[in-house]
This record gives sequence, C-alpha cells and structure tokens, in this order.
Amino acid sequence: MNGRILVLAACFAGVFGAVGLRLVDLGLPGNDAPAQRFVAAAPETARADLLDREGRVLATTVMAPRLVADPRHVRDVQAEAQALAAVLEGASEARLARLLGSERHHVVLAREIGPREIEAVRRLGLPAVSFEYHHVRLYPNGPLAAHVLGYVDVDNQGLSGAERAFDARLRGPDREPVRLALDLAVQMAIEEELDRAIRRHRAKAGAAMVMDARTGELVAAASLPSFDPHQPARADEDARKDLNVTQTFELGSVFKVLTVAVGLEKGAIGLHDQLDARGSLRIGRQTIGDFRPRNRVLTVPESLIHSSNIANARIGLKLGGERYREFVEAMGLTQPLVFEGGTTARPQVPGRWSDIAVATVAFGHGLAITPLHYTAAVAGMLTDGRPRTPTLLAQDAIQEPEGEPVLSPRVVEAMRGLTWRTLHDGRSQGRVEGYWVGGKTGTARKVVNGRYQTGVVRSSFVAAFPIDDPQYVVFAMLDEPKAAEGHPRDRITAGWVTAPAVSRMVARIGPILGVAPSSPDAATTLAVWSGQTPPVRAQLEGGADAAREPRG
Amino acid sequence: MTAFSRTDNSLVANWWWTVDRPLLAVLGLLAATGLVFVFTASPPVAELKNLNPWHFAVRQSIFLGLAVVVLLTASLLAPLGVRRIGTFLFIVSLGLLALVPLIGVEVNGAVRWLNFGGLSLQPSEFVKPALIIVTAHVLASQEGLRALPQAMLPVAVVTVLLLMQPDVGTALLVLVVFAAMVFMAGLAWPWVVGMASASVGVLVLAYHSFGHVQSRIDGFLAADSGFQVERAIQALTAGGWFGQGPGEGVIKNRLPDSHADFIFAAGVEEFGLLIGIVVVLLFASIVLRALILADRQPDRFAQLAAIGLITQFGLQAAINLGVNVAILPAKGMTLPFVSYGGSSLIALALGCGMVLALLRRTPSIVVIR
Repeated sequence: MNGRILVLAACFAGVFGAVGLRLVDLGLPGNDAPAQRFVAAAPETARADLLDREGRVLATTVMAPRLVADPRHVRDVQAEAQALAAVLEGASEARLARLLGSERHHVVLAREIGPREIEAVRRLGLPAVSFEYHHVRLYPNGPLAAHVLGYVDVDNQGLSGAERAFDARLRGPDREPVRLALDLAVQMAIEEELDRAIRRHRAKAGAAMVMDARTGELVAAASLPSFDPHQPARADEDARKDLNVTQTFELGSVFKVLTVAVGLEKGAIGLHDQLDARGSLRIGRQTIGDFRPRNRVLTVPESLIHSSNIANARIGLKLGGERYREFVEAMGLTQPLVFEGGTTARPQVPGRWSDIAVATVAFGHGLAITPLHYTAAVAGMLTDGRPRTPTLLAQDAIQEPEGEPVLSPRVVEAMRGLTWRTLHDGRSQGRVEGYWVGGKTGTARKVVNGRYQTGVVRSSFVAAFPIDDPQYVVFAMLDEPKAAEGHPRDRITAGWVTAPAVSRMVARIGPILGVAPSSPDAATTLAVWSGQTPPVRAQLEGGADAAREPRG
Repeated sequence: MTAFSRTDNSLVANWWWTVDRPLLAVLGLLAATGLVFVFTASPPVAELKNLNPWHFAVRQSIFLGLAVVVLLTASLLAPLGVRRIGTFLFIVSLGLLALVPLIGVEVNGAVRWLNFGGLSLQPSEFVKPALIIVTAHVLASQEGLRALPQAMLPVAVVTVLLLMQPDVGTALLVLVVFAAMVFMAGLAWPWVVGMASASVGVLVLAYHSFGHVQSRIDGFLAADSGFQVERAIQALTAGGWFGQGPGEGVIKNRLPDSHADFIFAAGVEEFGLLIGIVVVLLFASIVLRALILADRQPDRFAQLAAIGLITQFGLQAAINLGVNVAILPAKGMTLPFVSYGGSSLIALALGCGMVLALLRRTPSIVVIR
C-alpha cells in the first residue's frame, strides 16, 4: 500500500477512534455528572412518608419538575418573559422579567409545572430555561386531616402539625416513615359527618375527634373549614386554625359529667342523693337557672339526664372551691397540654375559686379549655380514672398508669352507667343502633363583647362506646349552629345538632374500628352502675323507652 | 439485483459490476440513519421557527430522494466525465460564490446563501467538490508536483471568496483538503513539515483576525466549552447506552441547532451511545474503504480526485463529531448525510457519487473500448 495513503488512513482512523473512545467514555459510570446536574435534587429536601395506623400514605414526597433559568443565557428579557407568561398558568410577566433580568445565575421561575406547561415551555426553545427535579410534598388525600398532618415550606421543612412535630425524624438520616395514630377511614367518616352537620345547621365552623380511651391515640381529628395542605398560604387564617387545640372554649353542659364524677369521688354526693332544682339558685348577686326547668328535686342521675345547672351548681358548692380546683388540676385541665403535636392553648381558669366561680364551673362555664383537654379528661374518667396524655403516634401498648388515679374504679363504673343513662333516658338523639353508648350534650351560649348571647351558641356532644368498657371517646362541637331546615328556630341545642352527628359517626366508625356490637346484658350492668335497682329483664328487651326510669 | 449478466455491457449493468457495492451499501445505511435522525431531532426546531413540525423532515426526505439520484447518476460517470462535470461545476459555483457578497442573504450574521425564487442555495457547498476535481486535474496533468503553481491559483481564489463571507471554517477545510492532495501528489517530506507549520500559521492568523474564531478557541481552551457543547454533552450522557427512545429526548429541545450541527448529540440522546458508535464506524469505514480502493487505482487523476473528495467528506464528519463530543472547539460544520441541509446533501451526494465513479473497479474498460 502506498505509504502516503496509509498516513492519511491512519490520521482518519485516529480521529474517528478518538470520537468512538470519547463516546464509550461518556457511557461509563462516573461520567454522568452533567446529566446528574441536569436533574439535580438537593438531598436535604427529601422527606419520609407520614402513614396512618394501617400503613396508608397520608403524606409522601415525589420528584417533580420546576422551571428554572440561568439569566446569563437570556437574550431578550422582555420577549422571553412575555413568551413564558403566555404559556405558564398564573404567571406574571413582570415577575418573570424581573427574574430573567436578574444578576443571579439560577432563578426559579415556577415551583410547580404541569406536563402541558413543560411541553409548551420546551417548544419555546429558550436556551436559558431548564427543568430541575426537586422533592415535592404530596398529600394524596387532599385536605383530609390537614390540621393533624400540617404542611411544609418550599424547602420541605415542617411548619405545622405532624410535619413539624416529627420534622427531625422525617428528615433524619434514616428517613423512616412515621406511623400516626390516625385511621384514614375513620378520619374520612368523621370529616364527612362533621361537614354534613355543619351544612345542615349552617354553622360557622366545627371540630371533632376520636380518641382511643386507653392509649390517648388520636384516631381522627377534624377541624372545619379545612385547607389544602399543598397551598396553605392560599387558605385564610381561620381555616388553618385547629379548633381542637388552638382555642379554648367554655364547653357548657358537657362539663357536668366531670362535676358529678368529682362529687362522687370526694363523697360530696351519693348516687341516690337528692338535689333541689326548684326555682333558681342565688349566689350573691348572681342567679343560676335551668334551660328547661324541672322545678323539682332531682336525683344525681337526673341532674345529668335533665342537664340541670342548679343541681350541678349545688354539687360544686357542696365540694367547695378548693376541692374542685384540686380535681381540675389533677385532670390536667388548668395547664396547656404538651404532646408530640405541640402544645395546646392555655386554659382560662378562674382566678379565685369563690362560691360563684365553683358553681359556674360546675355546669361548664368560667373554665375555658380546648376540646383536646376535655376529650382526654373524659377518656380518663371512663377508663382508669387518670387523665390521658393525647398522642399523634400509633401506640403498640396502652399507657402505663402513672401515680394514683384521680377517680377510683367505683366512680369510673358509676360514670359509665350515668353517661349511658343520660343518653338513653334523655331527649337527645345520640343513641346508636347496636352499641351501648354513653354521652352528654352541651349547649353553651357564646360570649360576644363580654355578654352571653341568646340564640348564639356552641353546641357540643361527647360520646364513649361501648360504654360498658369504653374503647373510644368521640367529641364534636359546632360553632353557631342554626336550626335545621324546617325545624323550630330554637332547635340549636346539642341534642338536636351535635348528638345526631356523633351518633352517625359512631355508627360508621364502630365497624371500621372493629368494635363488636354491645350485648343487651351489658345494659343490666350499666343500670346497676348508675344506681338503678336491677330492672326487669323484659323491660330492657322492650327497648330504651321501657328501660326509662319513671319520672316523678 | 443480480438480474444483470456479466456479459451485459449496458451502462447500468457495467456500473453494477464495477461499482464498489460495500461502499454504496454503507453510504445508503448512513443516509437512512441520517433521515431517521432528522425525523426525530428536527420537529422542536421547526416548531420554534413556527413551521410545521415535519417541515425539515419532509424537506430532507425530498432532498434525500434527489441526492440518491445525483449520487447514482454521478457514480455512472467515467473519470473523463467526472473531470468535465467537475470543471463545469467549478466555473458555475465560483461565479455564484462571487455573487454571494453582492446579492447574498444574511443568515445568523454571515452571508452564505443565494436565493432563487424560494430556493436557497449555498454555493460554498458545491465549490468544495468542484475545486477538488479541478485541483486533481491540474496536479495530475504533470509529473510529480510540477503543476503545483498552477494548482494554487483556483484554491487561492476560492479561499479568498470564502473568507469574504466570512466562512473561515469552509476556507480552512478547503485548505486542508488541498494540502492532503498535494501531500498525496508527492510533496517532499521537508515540505510536508513546512506545510503543516504553515497551516498552524493560518490558524493563528485566523485567531487574530476574526473575533468569532478567537472567542471560540479562547472558550475551548478555558474549558468553558460553551453553551451548545455543554448541552450536547448533556444529551449524549442523558441517553446512556441505549438511548431515551425515539422522540423521547428532551435536551434536544434546548439545543438550538439540533437538526443541523448538533444532530449527532440529539440523535444519540434518543438512540443511545451504541448507535452513536455505529454511526462513527459507518463514517470510518466509508473513509477507509475509499482510501483502500484509491490505493488500487492506477489512474493518477482518479486517485487524487477520489482522495481529495473522501478527505473532504471525512474531515467534515470528523470535525462535526469532534465538536459534538467536545474534543474539538465549537465550529459550524455539518455532519455529512445526517445534518439537515439541502445544498450540503446534494453537494455531498455529488462528491460521493464521483468517488464511487472514480473508484470503479475497471475504469480501463472505457479506455479499451
């Protein structure tokens, strides 16, 4: 072969060989640096999932594109900003122009960008813009349980709720998912029923929760109106507020169960004691009256069944301010509750436990606590007599009892019987087919500008089931309910408003939580616990009406 | 295709038995690959220019059909025909090249195009193969390098006209091809060293005379490979060995010349580095096969012309690939048969057709008759 052709051939072989080797080099691992930079994801924004107690995803993190630009490669700021504004949803041309014209090397033009927009932006073929994949927090159930889950900021740092409470764990090196006590299905049922009640009664807001009575686990907690955790900034401040923990309320008559419990515990009253509820009760310059006066002497169970302010005020007076104060302190109702989810609002406690103060607190006014305080106290009252510490985390075991119980087992049993009778003998619509439920209504007149208003109320209902061995406590509260369509205007009391809502909640969540239907025999035990002489079995089988104690 | 008898002496049958079929086959494969690349890489560019997404792809298909006809027709020629057509083309394209500064159209800052009622033409593409034929003819007309002074006149005129556009890249290409031909014609080794030094000198001169050449080389030396090249590397790596799949490439969208100078990177993003290596092998085998055939070519004109044409083809491919994989500084150069461009495609088809014609196994048949 001609030596000169060989030289030429060798030159070409060398150049093509170099290109080929370079291609092999680009394909070898370790050379993907530029590609990696293209899909750069800052690792510190990664975040573990939040799961419900059954392992269902409540919050997760996905990789999603965002639109970024390197202003150094922008050729015509105005033209490119205009072109981008035309294809980006809700983008302001002025803002884009400011970003594209900036001195920086990396600007984020859009944090969220959909496939159509991506395609449209790509078609613009602007050299300066590119897409960067980053971690985006996703809440697959939308606004469901938004207050419990909370939300994160643009850098995926937890700002509220469980996201803030478990921020360190979720972002930690292991990034173990956090299993919450929440049950997605129960949460769904609670929010639906709460929402239904709010719309039926055109209420301003509402809150509801389900607590495991023995472990303090929050199986569901809802506060409506809610918000979209993906865009917390777009919700108004009221919607972001969790009514269960951030605000204290005078809860009204639901508080009376605690008054009776402490009265029985301290021996101030017996189950068969008589309480004078005739006329009204005058303490100094104050007069206490009943909402629906019986004008007779009531037994202790009747003081709950008829929700007598006078009778409960008398129990408070018999106890005295000092003993009552000790009790509410022991039940944890005077301090903010501290749990993983943060700290609740601070209760408003009477400054001096005078006669009028204790009489007022005894029927649920003058002491303002959060719904979480109240639910935890009732859970303790109906189980081991100790206040519950609420928890957001799924628990594997029941809480170890700490210290002396505040309420003795005798009183706990009595309270189970009394709440059962209150619901089953009373006028409220809180009964549930298939379960023996204990419950108490509460309709508190709202204070506006320092005065109690007429017709403007906050109605609440607490229920526990199965009441012969309580597993779950359900609490619901509606702010400023109106009477349902076609009902008399005064049907804004808890018996008409929240009791039916809680009844529906219990009926739905009982099977989800695997609570077996109550046996009719349990009613005999409950009746005895409430101080009734064993009723004739046939009466019980005749239904709730037959079991009603004759009224005198 | 074996319908031709060996005793059939018709033009086509004669061609079939004498043309180098492996070379023809590889060229066909390359053209087919190029068409696929244009089909996947050009729609985003077309949309960017507010054209039908398939604008470039459809036009390229038409050009390719035309190119096949040009290539096959040219490959039918005898060396004498190649010389005549080459000389004629040289006169015409030189005339057009001279017209460019007067009536040319400016595209991207350089005046390289002539517009004839909707048809645009890049004379520099056609002057390249024509100049090679003319140079080969002049050099072969006398023993050794005695005709070198005469051969330097046409190349000097073309170089000056190209620098006026300015098209430094093509001018350099023309000079390097000329140097290769002079080398093949038997330039004494001391002169080879001298010419090599001279070309370095030209490069230095270009660096100091033309701002855009300077900035490109500066940028390359400063390891700031430039925006397009950076994106090209992203495209090459994004595809991995097997590619993102046809039409699935995304980086091509932000590669402004993804249908032309950077089509290789855009294609590899979608079809993978393995296909990229296959494309490089196709180019290498075309060049090496042609050089081997040229070695066996007894006719001095045919040998010089074929080597000149294949050197032009190979250099263009090597420079484009080198830029795409960032081992050479960014330089506007199309990838033969792959990049979009009608003038380039037709001119290269003509050049390759001439190579096939010049390298036919028994060109002496014509002489015997």
